Amino acid sequence: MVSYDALAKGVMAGDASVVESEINKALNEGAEARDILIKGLIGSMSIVGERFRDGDMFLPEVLASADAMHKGLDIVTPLLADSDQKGLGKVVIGTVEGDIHDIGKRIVGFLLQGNGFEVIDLGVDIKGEAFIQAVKEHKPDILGMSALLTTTMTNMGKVIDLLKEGGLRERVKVIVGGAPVNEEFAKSIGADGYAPEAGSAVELVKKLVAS
Amino acid sequence: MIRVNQKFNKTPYFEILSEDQIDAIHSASLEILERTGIRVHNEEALEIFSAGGAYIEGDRVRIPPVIVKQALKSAPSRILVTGRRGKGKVLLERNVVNYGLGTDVPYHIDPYTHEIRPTVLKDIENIGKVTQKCENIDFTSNSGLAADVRPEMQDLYHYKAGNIYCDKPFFTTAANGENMKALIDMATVFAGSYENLRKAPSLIIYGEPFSPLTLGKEATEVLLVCAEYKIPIVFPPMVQMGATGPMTLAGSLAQSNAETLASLVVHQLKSPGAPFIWGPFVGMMDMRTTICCYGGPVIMKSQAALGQITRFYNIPTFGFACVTDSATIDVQCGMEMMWSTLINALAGLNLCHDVGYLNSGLLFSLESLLLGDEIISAVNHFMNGIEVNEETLATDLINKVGPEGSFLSEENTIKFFKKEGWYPHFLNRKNFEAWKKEGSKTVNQRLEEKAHKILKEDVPPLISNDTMKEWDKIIAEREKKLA
Repeated sequence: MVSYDALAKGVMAGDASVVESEINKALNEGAEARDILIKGLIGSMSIVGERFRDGDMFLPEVLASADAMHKGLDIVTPLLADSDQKGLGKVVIGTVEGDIHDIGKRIVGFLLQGNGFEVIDLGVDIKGEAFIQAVKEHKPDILGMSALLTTTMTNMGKVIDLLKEGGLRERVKVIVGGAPVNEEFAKSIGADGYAPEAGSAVELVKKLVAS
Repeated sequence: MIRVNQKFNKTPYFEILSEDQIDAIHSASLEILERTGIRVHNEEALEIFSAGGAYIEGDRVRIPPVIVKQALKSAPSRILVTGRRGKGKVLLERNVVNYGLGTDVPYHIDPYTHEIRPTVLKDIENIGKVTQKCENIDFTSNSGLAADVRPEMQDLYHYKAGNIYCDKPFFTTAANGENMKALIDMATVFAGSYENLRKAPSLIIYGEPFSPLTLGKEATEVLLVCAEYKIPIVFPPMVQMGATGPMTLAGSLAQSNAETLASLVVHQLKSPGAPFIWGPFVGMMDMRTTICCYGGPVIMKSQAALGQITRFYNIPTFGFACVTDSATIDVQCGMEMMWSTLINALAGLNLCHDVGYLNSGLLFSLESLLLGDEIISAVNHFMNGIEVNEETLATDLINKVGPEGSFLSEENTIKFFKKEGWYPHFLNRKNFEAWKKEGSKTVNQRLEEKAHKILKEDVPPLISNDTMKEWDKIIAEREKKLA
């Protein structure tokens, strides 16, 4: 039984060199790549997520952890069986048309990446058609839309309508967020989920991917 | 290349009086001392004043400016107090602000039932336990008058209880000269000798003259014993405007100044160079309730003036932090605690005490202490000012990140997010939905949870059995004499 305590410490400290050396050590001791991924890296990031939620870790530290975790993924991923290569899931995110607010969406993206999701960030001021195109092209598990303005948040509903028109709605779960958005609004436009801040967005995505 | 003719502010800079106003107050104090004088109810003090050149008429002492000048000259401008185990430091020196607890509070808010009840020794132990955990609190105190021991012996029991779980410098009171000596003996159990205790004092004593213009018997005994053993003492008159001093702030400042100068004179005549902390308390009496106000703008003005007056004298100063007239932790409490701390810090006062008090010093609450720790943390952050240099201006970084970029993953952010940002333990920073999800908790609830958590922790006492035995011996001897 390989212990991942030192690996978890490296992830929490955001120290990529520790993460790399601990993974190599585990591989030498005969640990399986899948085990390192799930118990080691993803397990460590869950602790980071909990500590962030409880206010014991700060965003820049979480991002450093995510970065260290990715250095670990670079070693582990090529060693995984094909069926495991897919990772935890794929998420496409973007800020809706008419809105150039970036930072909140970007934080969600960083945190999702840090938790082992593949994230495709389309950027800001994304037209409905571009979201549809991205869903077709990347086949994500989750589509995440962000808006900071009451005048642009309605565009989220329009994207969902376009998904329906294109027959894509059942293929992807839609989540929404941003300062003016709330649970009620999310329901009214037919989204599958809403989170009030970045930490709970990760929990939400995990839940939706598992369902 | 070199940038020249630069002047940078390390901290905010603040004053309420001009030099001429300070001089006018000082001059009025000298007039009060020479013309009106003070009444002294202590034989030894009368002899000292007489031998020092004051004019004595019965128990009335009039003090000429020349003696005042001598006292101001011999009083030290710097006092260093350390915890009894050499840890924790209180540096009382021009513009160095230290925070801690106050001494004698009759009532305690029970941390579990929130019932207001008399303080007991166990509360004083618990106060030490919580104070030890408060990272912004520099010195501790009994913060209570234990109702479960006889009043004549309270001070010695307070010292014992307050030191069990806390090793920060201890601020306390003594009932009279003999108890003061016993307290010194208790502190000497750690120091090893009176000489060592003199060189590195671990306690600070509080006593006070009576306003207006009177030195009481016991308080003066304590003052003179502290002078003899060179134990730092703060001796603040409590002037209540309109009751124990004139209703005008300038007049009350001048009178309290005179009272403090008289105390300093006898203290320095007894033992030149002994450490003395300047500390009048000039507040208004609320003419509707007769309460001596700790909150509100009047005392803020007098504290602001006090900072400047003591810089003029160059003597360490008493101050306040986190004080309020509110009887509970509410909006009033938050408002008054915050700005009392900020103003005292801006004034550059040295020994800022009374953290944990409520209701003008009638109540103590562990939750108020924890809230105070957070307020001090915020004020300290503000007082650290704005650092302006090449690294903090960060133009290279701004250029690197550029339009529509993000600073989140930059090294500069990791390096500075704690130093340039500020993070509370108890204040809410969650958006309302996340806040509701976690039970819509108020600051009060979070403070209560933290207090319970600390009280439940099983921490070992910081006092050895041998020390405890030595202390009990000193206490028993004093009990015997009083019997």
